[in-house]
Amino acid sequence: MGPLPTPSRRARRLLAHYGLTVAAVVVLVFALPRAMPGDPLAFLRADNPESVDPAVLHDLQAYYGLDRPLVGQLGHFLARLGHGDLGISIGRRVPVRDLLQAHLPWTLLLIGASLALSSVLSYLLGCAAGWRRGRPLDRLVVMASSAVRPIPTYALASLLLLGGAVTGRLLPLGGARTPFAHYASPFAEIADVARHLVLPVTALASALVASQVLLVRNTMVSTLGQDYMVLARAKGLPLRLLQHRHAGRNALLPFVTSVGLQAGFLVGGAVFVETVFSYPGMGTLVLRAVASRDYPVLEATFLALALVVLTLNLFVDLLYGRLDPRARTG
Amino acid sequence: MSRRARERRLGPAGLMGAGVVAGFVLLAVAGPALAPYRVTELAGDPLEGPSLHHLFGTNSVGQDLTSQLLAGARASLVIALLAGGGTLLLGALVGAVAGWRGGATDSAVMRVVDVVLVLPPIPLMVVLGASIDPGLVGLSAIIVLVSWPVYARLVRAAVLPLRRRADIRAAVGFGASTGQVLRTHVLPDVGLVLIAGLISAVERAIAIEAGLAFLGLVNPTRASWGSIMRDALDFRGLFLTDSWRWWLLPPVAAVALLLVGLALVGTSVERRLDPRLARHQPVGVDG
Amino acid sequence: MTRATGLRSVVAAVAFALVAGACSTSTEPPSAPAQGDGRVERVRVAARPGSYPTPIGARRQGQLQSTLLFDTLVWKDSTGDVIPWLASSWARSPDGTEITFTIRDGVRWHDGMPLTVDDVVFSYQYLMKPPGQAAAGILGAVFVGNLQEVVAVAPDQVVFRMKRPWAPFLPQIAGIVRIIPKHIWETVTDPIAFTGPQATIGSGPYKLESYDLATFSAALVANNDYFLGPPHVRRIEFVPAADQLLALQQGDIDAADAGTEDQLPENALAPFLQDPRFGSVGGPPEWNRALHFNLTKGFPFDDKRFRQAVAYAIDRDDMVKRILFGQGVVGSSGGLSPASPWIAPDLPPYAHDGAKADALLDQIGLKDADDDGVRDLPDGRPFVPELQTSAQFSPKTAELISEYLRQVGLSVTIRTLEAAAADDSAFAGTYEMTLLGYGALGGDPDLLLRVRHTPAAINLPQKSKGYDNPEVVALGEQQLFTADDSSRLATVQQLQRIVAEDLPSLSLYLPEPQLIFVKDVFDGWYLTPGGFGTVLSGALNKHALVTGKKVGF
Repeated sequence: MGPLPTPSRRARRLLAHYGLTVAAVVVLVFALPRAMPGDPLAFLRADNPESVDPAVLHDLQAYYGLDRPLVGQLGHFLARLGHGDLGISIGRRVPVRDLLQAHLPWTLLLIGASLALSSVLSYLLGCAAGWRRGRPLDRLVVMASSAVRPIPTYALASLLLLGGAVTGRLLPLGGARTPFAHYASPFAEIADVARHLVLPVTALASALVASQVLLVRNTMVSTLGQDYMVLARAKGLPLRLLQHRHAGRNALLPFVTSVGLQAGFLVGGAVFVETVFSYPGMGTLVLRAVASRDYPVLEATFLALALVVLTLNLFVDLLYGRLDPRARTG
Repeated sequence: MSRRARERRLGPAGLMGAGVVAGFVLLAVAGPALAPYRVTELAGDPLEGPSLHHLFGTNSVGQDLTSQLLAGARASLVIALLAGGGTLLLGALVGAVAGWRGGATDSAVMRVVDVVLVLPPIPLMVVLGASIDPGLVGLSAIIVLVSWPVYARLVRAAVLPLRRRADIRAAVGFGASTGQVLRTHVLPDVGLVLIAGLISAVERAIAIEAGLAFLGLVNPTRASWGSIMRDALDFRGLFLTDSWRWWLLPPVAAVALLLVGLALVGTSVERRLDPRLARHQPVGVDG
Repeated sequence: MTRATGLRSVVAAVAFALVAGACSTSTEPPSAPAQGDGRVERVRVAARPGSYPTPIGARRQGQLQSTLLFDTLVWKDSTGDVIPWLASSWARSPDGTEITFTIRDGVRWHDGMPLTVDDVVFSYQYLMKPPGQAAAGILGAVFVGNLQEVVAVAPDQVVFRMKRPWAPFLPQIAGIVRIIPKHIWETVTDPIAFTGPQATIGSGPYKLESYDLATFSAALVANNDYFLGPPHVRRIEFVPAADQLLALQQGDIDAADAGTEDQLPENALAPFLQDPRFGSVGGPPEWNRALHFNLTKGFPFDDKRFRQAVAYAIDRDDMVKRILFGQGVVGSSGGLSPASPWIAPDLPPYAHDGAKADALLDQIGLKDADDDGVRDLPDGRPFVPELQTSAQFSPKTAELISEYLRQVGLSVTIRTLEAAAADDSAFAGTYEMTLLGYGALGGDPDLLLRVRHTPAAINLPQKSKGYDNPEVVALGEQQLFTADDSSRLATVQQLQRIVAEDLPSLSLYLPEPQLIFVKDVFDGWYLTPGGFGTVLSGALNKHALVTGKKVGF
């Protein structure tokens, strides 16, 4: 290992790293859908069985560029992508860009809300538990999180759905908003969207909280044993300041790292949650596109999801640089 | 670590977890002998509630759910061994090579790891699952393909510092074979990491198998807990009748219980590894 | 710590939204005042996946919606008979090769322009050559090859001249080709990418008000200048609903129908059928789950005695009980719906009979050579036929069949494939036996009896792979190119008799469709026998929505 990188070197390395990853991902999202058996034009024979003329099929294949050799298709795909053109959904006959615009915000909202809620909750709970190590609150946190963490998201989501269905109409069981609602005010609209978010976010955030709360708690516990903390306490610094400013800040670093590590899993968990609560996010879009082998939609959704994960990772990397003095000063 | 804790290697929670896991393994092994019917046998009427003939009732076509749950335990065991073991094996090999060799090998391997980690695992498995006949072996292969990078990272991180350790450098310098070095110096240090990793990989594999079945992406004619759940949820009258009580809840409970048991064991092992270490693999989220 | 402040405000916003959301109940749209004219203010049905509702090549829900936005020359009412629509009448020449349609007067497009015979001629020609041909895929090559010309012969008359008479012209062609505005579409060179608001301007009883790509929800509002007068139902909303019956129970939708194989046991239906708020209406069963044999796979699949033995071994009554909870019928061996007006009355029923199956299997040499309880091939090798199914749609059906066949000593391996892969395999014919689901069994029999059984016709997943009976091919042509309905019926029935004997596929069961609806909202629902707009079935027949009646205007 050479000397620790300076900030600009670090930035350049980060950039190169992410650039390479994006390039590999782009090629993969092109190749993966085409590796599946099945035919994106198969819907024709299901919908209009009397008209599956070879001539019509051939024309359609040519229209979507499916008659070219794979290398040609890849070139076409890259050229299209270069112009920001994501193509037209084969099964749904609308621009893929419009589909992404309709679905991506809901997934971002779901993931964002879950991430925010779980981060705040697990950070506060973890700090509190670590500070009161061995006391009832600590024991409760440790026990509850061990019990919740391994339960798969879909199982939790199904149980929540079941609970919701049994208890009646307290919370909406599906969708992202009340269809065709007329809102009295923007607040009513936000409230409606939030109400629809409650169950999905609970399902998605629970496992996150359960896994992160222990991390924060354990870092806190080990930090409290460090010499400088003992010194700070001896100096008589206010407890609250100690807890958050010193100990908490130390706990933040591994915490932020683990948030970054979870980005991929979060996106995966969102697929389940969206399926259970028929939430109109990317998960439902991907599953439908897989079922119909809609290549342009598959390419775009995979790319978008990978970019979401990458962005979260990059964000963590940058934040890491700010939080960890060693990474900052070199 | 207190002396008592050291004596009881797993601690009470770990022992409890080990008991749960052992119970499931027993059921999986003894399943065929215990099962009252063949899995697909039309053993009763559709949607019979729990009775002496059918302890867990029957599903919508009249198959015995007790037999299916037992077969599901076996499916989970097979997945645990094939997919969980395979994941750790591949991850450990790649991670060890990267960590041990360092340099260009390391950066190349870690770049691949990064790319695989960036692709969202569930959609990726959806695509892979659609590409092959989703039997248990194929399914395990998919789980391994998608999961190994996490463990490659883990093992690499454990091996990396060893390269710089004086005793190992000395051993290498004195001409000890790689196998010898691995056996006498590396394995004792990395061993516990591997065990913890294995448990986590097994948890993950079981959760993913059930999760894919839940999405309807594995062979539904091979009874697993996930496919029982899927069958139940596919039945439109599930919540309009009380069949969800004996059809949906038992497989959900079985998966949850086994995973909690495994997690308890895993946490205990990791505590031994490093008392301060927290488990932060988001097992719950990925499947 | 400025970071913390930012975080705190986000938390505060989320927390506020959650609390506010929990208290808010005012998101329901205000219910409109009752109208004095007896029209229905709003009907809500479940939104289903589909494409955008363009008139050219729309899919599933989009195809259904496009029948509400656009009109065809003829349509169907609750009797299943063809009724006049944009055409007020039609006449066939004595030899059946010419059909003349008289177009209604005063019909206008949604944008106010008048609909003329030029639009009608344009609509058909647009589908017969690029770019419309590929985009739509509505008119098959056999039809286009048989059509000589379509021309306007008077300001209100269009004539179709054909080489030979085309028997199913009215329901299969005039009933599905949507008439599109020439002034919009004549400049459209890429109909696939043409999806703006202009693309949904039709002459139909409804206009597209809103469409949500994410949830498939859509609102259609009545076209009050419609040629039949303002539609009876003023507004149709397609509402996302994960579970239709749950949504109906909770008041989110006004009508719910079962999916194809989603029948319910009686105790689950009881709350709806006994509640006076709900009404229900049934229809003829027209969708089936079928077992197909691949005759190209050689012995024993190419031996009709094997296929008959399998038919005798399968307890289809038991399947109706276990898969459909008794709400369905056993398929006809001729392949059509037992409720079809084209059904032949005297087909072999292949009722469950293990002894007959055993005898037939013995006869063709599939005997248990090694006494392991499983039949072997004549040369002594074990016989393990493969039954393919899609993982999503029919795994339980496959398991049932393997259980029945077990009873007669046949050991079946079930091969499950993901739905699209299974479809691909069925299309390519890489199976020995497969389960397939398809509909339109009550409509025109041409597809089921000619296309499926004619080797030279277009390939389809539900094609009888390897089945080649010259008599069937000849009769298939004979029933298509005729203008004489009664001789066609005789031909069609003869076809069924041959197919029932050869049994290249076995129709297993057909679920009985049922629509449950809220009576107070709209009770004019019916399920159209034979479907409308070719493969479309379900309750959203625009005749009901526009007139509120079962027949007539």
